[in-house]
Amino acid sequence: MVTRRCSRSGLPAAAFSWVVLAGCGAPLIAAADEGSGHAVPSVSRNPLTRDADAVLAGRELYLERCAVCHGQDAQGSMAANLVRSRSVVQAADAALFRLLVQGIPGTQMPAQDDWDETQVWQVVAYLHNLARPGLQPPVDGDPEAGREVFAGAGCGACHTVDGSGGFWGPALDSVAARKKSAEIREDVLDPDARVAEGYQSVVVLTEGEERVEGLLKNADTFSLQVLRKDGAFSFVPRSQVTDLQRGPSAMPSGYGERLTDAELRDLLAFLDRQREPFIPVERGFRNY
Amino acid sequence: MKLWSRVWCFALAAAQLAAAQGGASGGAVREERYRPPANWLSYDRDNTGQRFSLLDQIDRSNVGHLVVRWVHQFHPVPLRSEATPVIRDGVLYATAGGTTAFALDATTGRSLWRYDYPFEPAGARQPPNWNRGVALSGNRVYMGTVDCHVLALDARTGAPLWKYLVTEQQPCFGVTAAPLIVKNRVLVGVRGGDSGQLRGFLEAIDAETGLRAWRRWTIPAPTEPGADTWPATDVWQRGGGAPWTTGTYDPELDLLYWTTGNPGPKDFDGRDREGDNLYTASVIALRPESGELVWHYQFTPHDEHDWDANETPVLADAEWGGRPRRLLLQANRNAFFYVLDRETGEFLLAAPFAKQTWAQGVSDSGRPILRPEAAPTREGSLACPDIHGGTNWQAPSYSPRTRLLYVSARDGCGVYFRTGHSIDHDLAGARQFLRAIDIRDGAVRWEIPFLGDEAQEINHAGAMATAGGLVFFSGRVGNFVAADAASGQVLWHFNTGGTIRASPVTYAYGGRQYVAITSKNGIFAFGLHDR
Repeated sequence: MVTRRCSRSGLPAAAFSWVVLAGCGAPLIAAADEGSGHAVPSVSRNPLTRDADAVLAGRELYLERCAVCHGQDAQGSMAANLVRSRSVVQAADAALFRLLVQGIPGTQMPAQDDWDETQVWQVVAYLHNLARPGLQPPVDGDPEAGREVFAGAGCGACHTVDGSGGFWGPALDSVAARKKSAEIREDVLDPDARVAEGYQSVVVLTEGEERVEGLLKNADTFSLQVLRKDGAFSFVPRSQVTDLQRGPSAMPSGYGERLTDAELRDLLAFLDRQREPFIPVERGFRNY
Repeated sequence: MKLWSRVWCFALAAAQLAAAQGGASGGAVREERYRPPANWLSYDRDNTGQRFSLLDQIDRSNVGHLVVRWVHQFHPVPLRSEATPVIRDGVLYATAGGTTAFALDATTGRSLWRYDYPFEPAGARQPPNWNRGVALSGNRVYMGTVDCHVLALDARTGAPLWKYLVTEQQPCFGVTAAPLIVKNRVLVGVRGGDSGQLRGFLEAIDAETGLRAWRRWTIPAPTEPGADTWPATDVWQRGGGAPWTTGTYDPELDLLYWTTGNPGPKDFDGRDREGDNLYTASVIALRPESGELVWHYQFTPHDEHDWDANETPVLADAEWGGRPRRLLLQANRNAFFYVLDRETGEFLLAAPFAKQTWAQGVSDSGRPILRPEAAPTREGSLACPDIHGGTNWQAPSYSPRTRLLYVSARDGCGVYFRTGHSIDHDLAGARQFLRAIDIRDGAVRWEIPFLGDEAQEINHAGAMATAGGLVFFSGRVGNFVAADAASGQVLWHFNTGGTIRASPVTYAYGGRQYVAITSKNGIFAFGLHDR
C-alpha cells in the first residue's frame, strides 16, 4: 500500500479497524397491509416492454388521447416533449403507469383512469420506446435462459444485477437503459475495445518500491485513486509514482468462443432486459 | 512528512489512551470503545449525538493557519445543501441535493463514484429536493430519498442494491434525514408533520435484505397507551409527530433515542386535538430489536407553535447530583435546554437558553408552567420564540472537556394566528447566536452574536467541538468559523461564498486532520499547511 496511512507509522492497525456489526437474527415483524390504490399496477415492471405489438397499440392510444397536447411525434406542442421529459426518460415503469392513471393534479394533464391495465402498459411501452434509445432494437433470445448463462459463466463475480454481484465490473442492472444492444454485444465479445470509465486496470509502482494494483477510478495531475481487489481504495500522489502501467480490461475475453451461439444470444437477451436497478421482493409491503 | 505523521500518530495513540481511561474522569468518551477517532462514521459521528472528535492536530495554537485542502463542487447546484458527510478510512460519502450520492477521496476531493437516483415523479407536488446525508455499514451506503424510499448502494462503486418504499401514502413527504444504523437495522423517520395528513412513524429496515423489521408509530392508536392524550375522534390518524431527523443510540443500555415533531392536523390551532398529544414534541426511547417503547418525555405538551422537538438528543455521561449519570441533553426549539436521565427518562433540569415568553418555567416533574396569553388566537398573539424556534434541527455539539453544549440559537418573537400562520414579530429585533450552555445548570456561559447580514437570517448551520479545544460553526451567509471552545474567542473564519445549512465534520487520514463543511455549492475541506 502506498497510501500514507497512519498505521504504517507505528499505531496498531486495530485502532483504525472498523468493526462491522454482523448478523440479524430477529424475526421480521409482520407489516400491516397498507393496501394499494387503483393507480398501482399489479406488477412493477412493464410486462409489455419491447413487445412490438404492444408498442404499436400504445401508439394508437397515444395518437387518440395524448397527441393533441404532446404532438404527433411526442416531441411536445402545447404540453411537454415526452421524448426528453424526465418523467418519461427517468421514470420507472410503475411511476409512469401511475402518472398516466392519476394525471398531474393542478395541471392540464388529465387522469387516464378509463384505460385498463394492459392499455396503460401499452402506452408506457410506446413512450419508453421513444425516450430510451437503448431499448431498440429488441434482441432475440430467451432472457431467462440468459440469466442461467450469466450465472454459469460467472459474470456475477464482478457485475451486479438485481442487487447482488461483485464490484470489479460495472453494475449491469440498467445497462440496457444506457447502451444500445449492439454496444452491449461488442462489450461482451471484445472487452478491450472500450473499457468503462473507472474500470481501467492499472499497476502503480511508487518510490519505496510499493505496488498498487486495481481499477483506476480517477486520475489527475497530482493524484491517482485506485480501487483495490479487497474493496478498499488507495490514494497515490503523482509525486510518488515511478511507473503507471495500464493493463487490459479486467474482463476476460473469449466469450465469443466459450459460449455457443444460442447461449450468447440468450445472454444478450438477458442483458438487453436490464433496464432498471430494482426488482420486487416478496413481502407484505411493496418493495422494489 | 514521515516524522510528522509519526508524531501525529503518537498523539492519536495518547488520545486513545486518554479515551480508554475517560470513564474514570467522568468524561463522556466511552463511545471511543467502538468508534475509531480518525473516522466520522455516521450523521452525528458516533451515534451519541455529541459530534465531539478527539482529533487535536488542529488546535487553538494553529487554527489561525488553516487552509483549504480541496473543494468539491456540486453539479447541479442543489436547492439546499444540508448533508453531513461521513468519512471512513479516507473515503468521504455524502449526498448533494435530494437525489445524488457520491464518494470522494477525502484527501483530495477527487471523485470515486457518483449515483443519481431517478426519482419517481409523484404528481404536481414539488418534492423536498434536499437530503442530510448517508449512513454507512460494511460495504453499503444507505440514503433516504425525496419519494420516500431508502436506498442501499455498494460503497465501492455506488451500484444500487435495493430500495425500500417507506410508505405508499400519497402524497409522501420524503425521507430527508440521514439514516441511523443500529444492530443491522437501517432506521429512518418520515417528514410531513406540518401537512395535516401524517401519522408519524419510525421505520426499521433490515440492512442486508431491505425488508421491514418493524415500524413504531409516534401517535398511538385508540387502544394503545397514550391514546387518552387525544380526543375520541380520528384526528390521531393525522396527528403529526414526524421523526424527521436522525436519532442516537446507547449500546450499553441498548436504547435508541428518537425525537418527534409537532402535533397536527393543525399546527397553530389545537382545539380539535385537546390533550397532551403524545408522542409529539417528545423524545422516545426504544429497543432497537423490536421498536418497543421503553420511556418517553414530552417537551411541549399540546404544542400550538410548531415547536418540533426534532433537535438532536445528545447522550453524555457526567456527574449529576454528586454521582455519575447517563444523561440525555437537548436544546429544544421551544427555547429550553433539558437534561434527562437517559436510562429512565427522569426529568432533571430545564432552563431557557434563548428568549422565551410561553412558559413561566418547568415544574419539578418536568411539565411546563404555561403563560396562557402565548397561545395562538384568531386575532394573533405574541409569543417567543418565533416559529423558527430557539434552535432547530441544526446539529449541536457537546464537549466533555468543557462540559458545554454548543447550540446555534435564535432570540426572536412571533405573532401566532389560529388560522394557520405566524408572522415574525419585529424581525429587525431577532438575533442569531452561537451559545455555549453549561450542562450542569443550563446557564449560557458565553455567546457569539452574528452581525450584519447574518444577525437575523435564520441559521440552520450546526456546530462541532474537538479535543483541539475548538468549536467550529457557521453563519448563514457562508462564514465558517472556529472559536476557542472554552472562552468563545473567535480564532479563524473563512467565507465559503454560499449559504451554509449543514454541520461540520472532522477526520484524519495519512497523518493529517481535516475539517469539512458542506456549503451551498460544494464541500470545503480544510487542514494545516504542509509546512
